[in-house]
Amino acid sequence: MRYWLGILMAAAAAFAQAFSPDQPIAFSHKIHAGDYRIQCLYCHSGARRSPVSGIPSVQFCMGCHRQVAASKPEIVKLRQYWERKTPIRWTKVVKEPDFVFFNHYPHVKKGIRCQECHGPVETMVKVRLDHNLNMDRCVSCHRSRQVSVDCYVCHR
Amino acid sequence: MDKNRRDFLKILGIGSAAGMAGCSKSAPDALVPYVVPPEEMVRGNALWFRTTCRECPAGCGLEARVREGRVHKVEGNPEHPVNGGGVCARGQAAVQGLYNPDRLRTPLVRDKGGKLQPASWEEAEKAAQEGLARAGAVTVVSGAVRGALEDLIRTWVGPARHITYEPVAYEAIREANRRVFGIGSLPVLRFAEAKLIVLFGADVLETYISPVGYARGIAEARRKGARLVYAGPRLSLTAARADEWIPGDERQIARTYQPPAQEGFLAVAGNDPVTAQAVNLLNQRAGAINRTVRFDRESALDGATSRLEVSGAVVVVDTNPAYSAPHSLDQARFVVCLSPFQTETTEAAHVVFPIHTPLESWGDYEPWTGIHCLQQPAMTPVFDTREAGDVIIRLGNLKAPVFREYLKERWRKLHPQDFDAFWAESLMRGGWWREVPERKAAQVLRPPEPVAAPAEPGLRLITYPSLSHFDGRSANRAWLQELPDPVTQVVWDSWVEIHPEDAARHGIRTGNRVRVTTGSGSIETAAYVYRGIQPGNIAIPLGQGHTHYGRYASGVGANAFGLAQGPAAIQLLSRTRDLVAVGGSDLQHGREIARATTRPPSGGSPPPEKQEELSLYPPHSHDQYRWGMAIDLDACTACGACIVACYAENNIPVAGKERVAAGRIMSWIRLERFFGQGSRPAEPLQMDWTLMLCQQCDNAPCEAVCPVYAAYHNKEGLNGQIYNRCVGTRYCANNCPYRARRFNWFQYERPAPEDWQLNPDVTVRTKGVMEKCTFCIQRIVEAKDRARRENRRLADGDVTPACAQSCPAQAIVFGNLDDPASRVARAARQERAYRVFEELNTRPAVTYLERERRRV
Repeated sequence: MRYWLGILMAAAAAFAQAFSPDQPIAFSHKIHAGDYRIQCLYCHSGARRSPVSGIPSVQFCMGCHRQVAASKPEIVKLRQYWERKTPIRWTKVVKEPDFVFFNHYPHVKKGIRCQECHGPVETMVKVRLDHNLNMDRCVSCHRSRQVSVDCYVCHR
Repeated sequence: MDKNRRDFLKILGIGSAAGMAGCSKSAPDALVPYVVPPEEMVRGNALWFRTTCRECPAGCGLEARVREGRVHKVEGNPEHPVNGGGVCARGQAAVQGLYNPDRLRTPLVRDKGGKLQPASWEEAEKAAQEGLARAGAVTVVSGAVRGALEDLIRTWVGPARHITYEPVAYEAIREANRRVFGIGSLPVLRFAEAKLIVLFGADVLETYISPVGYARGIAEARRKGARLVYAGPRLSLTAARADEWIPGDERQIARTYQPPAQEGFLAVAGNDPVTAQAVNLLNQRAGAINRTVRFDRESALDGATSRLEVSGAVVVVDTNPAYSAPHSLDQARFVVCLSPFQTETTEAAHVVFPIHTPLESWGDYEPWTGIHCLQQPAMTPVFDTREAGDVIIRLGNLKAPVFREYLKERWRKLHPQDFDAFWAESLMRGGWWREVPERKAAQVLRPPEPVAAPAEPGLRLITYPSLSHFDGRSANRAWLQELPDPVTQVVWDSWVEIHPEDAARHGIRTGNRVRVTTGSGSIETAAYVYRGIQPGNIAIPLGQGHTHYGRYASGVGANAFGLAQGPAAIQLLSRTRDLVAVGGSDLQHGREIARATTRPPSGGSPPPEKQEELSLYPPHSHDQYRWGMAIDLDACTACGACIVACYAENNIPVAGKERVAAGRIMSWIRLERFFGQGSRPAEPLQMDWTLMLCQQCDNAPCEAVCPVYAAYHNKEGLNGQIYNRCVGTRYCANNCPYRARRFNWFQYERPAPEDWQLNPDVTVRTKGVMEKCTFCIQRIVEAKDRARRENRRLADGDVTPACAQSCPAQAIVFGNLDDPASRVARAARQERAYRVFEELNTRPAVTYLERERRRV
């Protein structure tokens, strides 16, 4: 019974964690954050000063890609977005439930690495939801660091 | 198989999870970043823009809170000379004008069949210009718009053909000032400096000229010991607020009133010629002129008229004369209307241009000479609308740049040197205010007494601008329709107040349909039988009874603008009782919920401090903070601003008339009013009230009965309510002695674009969930974040809940009860402090300061 239960749970977990949709541009975090070691906060600068980490604007991407790798097919796509002045509709991978209010800023300020919640994104060619971001995870981390686990910290 | 309960639950969970995974959502959520991000905006952080409230002619300063490019809340500008930080219920509801689902989206042109049809801007402009040219000289009708827009209108049609139309224009007061002092202007009233304030039918705490500023001034005066007296036939909210109500005809009382020999006297008249003149002479005799009553600044209402008759070509700019002055447009041959909404006037117009609401517009307004208020757009327009100024420039073919530049050029004249810095500073400040030279008024002549209409037998009708809807312009805001009238507690309706004696004579009971007839017309509405109106008088609030003003206002109540004040008749139509009022008993039954004292204020010696009662159980421990609130019932004017502010801040749904009738109003804070007779014999009716909200009890009855711990006690003394835990047993609401909890019986939908107003920091509750006041937990968390960034503890005053922020009288104080030096802890130790239902040992965190009825 335990054996089968384990397999079932693993299968369910694998199913849940495999979420890794195709994106309109095959943006590789591995190239940017892994190979070139660009800081996460360079593009997701909102995490430093607001509740939301933010996705960089097309203008921001073009800041480098006007020159860098300008002829690669994915960058050509990017330039088309820029020239047409249309925003890129990325598919959301990490989703926060409606009744939770997470604030990036204090976590970043405390020096918690992005990977602790988002997984080894710098190794991912295509971003996938690597592990559950459930309440258990939040609470156990808060407990181990002796941070408040009052409901009102996240639920309002 | 050694299956146990846990394994069973796990399998069940996995099974249902797998099942759920099979149902894919219609589309995955998208993340859509900007192509070019707007300057200064950081997603998740709020931006504030200062602007000016244009919901009435008072011209209060506003701060609009903008998240992700959308305004979701307005608050008072604390630096503003008119309101100083507070803002009334109607000002709070300005966002519901902005996001009103019934806003006009395209220009409209009347076709050959006489129907208004959508048209392009070019077509509409062409139709308007041709029509105006055919119909002769153009007259422009606007509300009080002193500033760039008025200049622009006058460059087009000249001052003689610009009519400033305000349904409530205080002509009688201006005329009395002209006759007595030779100055035909509204006075500047300095309530804060007064010691005895006598109001003759002047509802200064409701709608009178500048109610937010006056409420603040009166609260300040009362803290210094001032006394407030009201004379008039109605126990209006202002009369109920007064220490003494002298029931009767204010015209007679004003003529015979003897002012005491006392510094700091201030008498104020309602808009009636006899009263206004008598009050002027009274103020003159008591030495109030040039002290508490001043004429240094002129009002933007000084050129306004409430009587309107126009003919020929008429352009109506954002006002609604077809509603508030029926038949005023009958002689007009061609009418062009500029309005953000469909109104009765747009229905009568030939061409309609949709314009921005004030929160989307550039503009300025000078409510009093030298108080230059600026308006800037707090967000990009919601629909394809234009600035009223730009439409006028195009219609008149004026040689002017776009309205924004026109406005800037006008401001350049105010301060030519170093203009760019001045402009930027003025935008940040919300305007520019300058000192004005003193203008002394002196009695120029003793005028003859105005002839009062002879008293006729029968009933006398009084109509008054309503607290929620003013002259009708705020009637299309759902929050204001759902805001119970403080005196009658009625929602979504109009009514006629009638004394029980008169009612008995006609066989009328509260809620019955009646017809009120005057010489100029008749209306049908519901009766409200009430001892707060003198026998021989009946009163109807203005502002309801729209026919074309969107889904919230149309068909609600009756329009009393067509009725002349004076002799009237009333007739019972039917015994149906369709008046919906919230609240229960009119009497307190000795429970001392809203307390008032007639004891004289203790001067000098500090009052004895109250002792905490002993308990068998250990007290709750608190980390650093225990949040508490103090509500000063002596300052509270029952204006309802806090209630609407709470709706705006906390995403509270509007239930609608039928559901309110079923007891399902959703407001987290409410006004409970009770009637009582004074302690002295033959004393008139008195009204006392209190604000009721979650008391955040230390021994909370709600927490103990929740089977799922959705109601819990946190380390800062708050009674948490966790929506995603709540399963909707409603035990907590049943066990709450304060009736502070609200249950979501329905999934409330908000018609687009009203959902844009939702506060992104607060959960939108779903069906089946209990909710209640959280002390604006999102603001506590935000303030803590701010303090953390600055590496400090929270200081007193860092957290201001929405209700406390909006209060014009600053009656609500919020802070940390564990810090003995905080304002709230000091208030809680006052002699006047009490807690509601203290005997239940719930130990609430909300302290009330009982109201004082100051006797001479």
